[in-house]
Amino acid sequence: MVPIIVIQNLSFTYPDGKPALRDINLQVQPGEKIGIVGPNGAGKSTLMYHLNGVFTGQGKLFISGLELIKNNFPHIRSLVGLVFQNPDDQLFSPTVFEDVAYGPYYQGLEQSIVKDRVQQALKAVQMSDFIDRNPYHLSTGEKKRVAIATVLSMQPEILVFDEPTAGLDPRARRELIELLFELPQTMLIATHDLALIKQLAPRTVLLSKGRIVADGPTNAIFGNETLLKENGLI
Amino acid sequence: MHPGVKLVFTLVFIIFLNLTPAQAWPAYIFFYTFLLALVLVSRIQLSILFQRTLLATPFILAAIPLIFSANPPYYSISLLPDVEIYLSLEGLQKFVSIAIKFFISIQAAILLTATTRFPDLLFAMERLKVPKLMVAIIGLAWRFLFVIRDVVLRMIRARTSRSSSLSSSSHSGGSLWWRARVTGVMAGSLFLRSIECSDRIYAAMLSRGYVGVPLPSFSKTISINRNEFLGLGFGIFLIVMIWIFGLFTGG
Ligand SMILES: Nc1ncnc2c1ncn2[C@@H]1O[C@H](COP(=O)(O)OP(=O)(O)O)[C@@H](O)[C@H]1O
Ligand SMILES: [Mg+2]
Repeated sequence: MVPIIVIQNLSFTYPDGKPALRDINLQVQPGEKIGIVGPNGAGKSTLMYHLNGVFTGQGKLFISGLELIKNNFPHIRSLVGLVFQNPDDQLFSPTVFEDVAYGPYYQGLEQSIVKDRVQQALKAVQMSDFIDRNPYHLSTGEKKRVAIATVLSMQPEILVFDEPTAGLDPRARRELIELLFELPQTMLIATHDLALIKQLAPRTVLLSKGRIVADGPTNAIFGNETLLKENGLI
Repeated sequence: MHPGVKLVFTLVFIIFLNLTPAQAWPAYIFFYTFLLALVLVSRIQLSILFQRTLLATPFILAAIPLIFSANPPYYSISLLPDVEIYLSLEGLQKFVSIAIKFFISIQAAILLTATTRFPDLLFAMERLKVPKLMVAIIGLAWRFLFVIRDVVLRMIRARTSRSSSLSSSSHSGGSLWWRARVTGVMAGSLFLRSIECSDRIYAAMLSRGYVGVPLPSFSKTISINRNEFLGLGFGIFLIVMIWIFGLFTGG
């Protein structure tokens, strides 16, 4: 199969001189669900931001065969839905409807289609009843769902999550995992919540100090206690 | 060095520099040599100094009208056969003087902030009997600057990542009016967020016993030692000498 994501020799250094990614190589097949694990500061978020061009480093990146260059940013952003760690950063509209409508509306879709998209997306995250609420005043779990709906409404092929379970209580966390389980898209999940990855992702990529130190079946990597200990995950 | 010494010296330096009359070119050179000597001693990187100076350049534009509006004699310069502009020589000299003073002052201020931690500066202000409330306000403004910068950066990042287009769609990007509205809404929500954020911080301060009187800074109350005192005196003496020299040479 043709991989849906190809990353070749990607390196990235923050403007203040801090190298955050070093020589990352990764291929993802359509429909795969992959856990990106690593301790704090490993570079997980930085890598996620590269997947739709929020950051651009040295090296090559292809999404669905399209090279990630400036001209392709708009199209690639409609293919890659990025869900930020802090939903407050993602939700900036007065109502849930407007927030979820932002993506499709920006794409230039017809009003009626936008409405359909919003309803579908909210239904998928079981938040249909919240359509007129102010997103800023929802619970963290609810905000998280709305944040996911804001990218689902763009009907992306790839979903990228940064620490999806951070700040959720056990019930909200369980419900979120069930939701992620049902979504059919290709998925990259950056987290240090190992239990989440065990349940959700057959493949794991272990990141440490900006490098990929392991990439393989989740069972194999999680069975290797020394590896996990060395990288501060247990 | 004691932050108070640096603060006082910088203030005196800037005040006397700006009291020096226009066109006192040699005096400007002395002022700048003095400052550069301090820069070299302080070991801050010259590239940082000049980068930050560059940031302040646009403010000079405010003085440009002087070139055209000061006293006669005027000199005309013809740009095109029919277009002439009148320059005042005095105005031009004034402008250059102001620009030079501006650059030197800015660099003095940069030298101060690059070599002194911000809390120490606040502490020095307190010691110099700047009203406490004012010091507290400056301190809080400094802190919120970073909080707000982070919030803005994160919001912009989240928005760009959703600003996509379909290759099939001819009118992507939304209408100008709609984008303007979204930006407005974002600015509004930034405003609300900063208020709520400050509310949360305020609540946290209250819960730790804040009663409306700013705490004194925690810096150790080291006092200015004899050498620093002499150094400060000598520095101010030099500044005054350059200034007097400038009075004689200026126009
Ligand atoms: N805006 C930034 N400027 C400079 N360095 C940063 C910035 N954001 C993150 N970093 C650094 O880059 C490294 C990777 O960070 P990040 O991708 O956030 O890690 P993770 O998400 O795995 O915890 C860290 O060492 C962090 O300190
Ligand atoms: Mg992170």
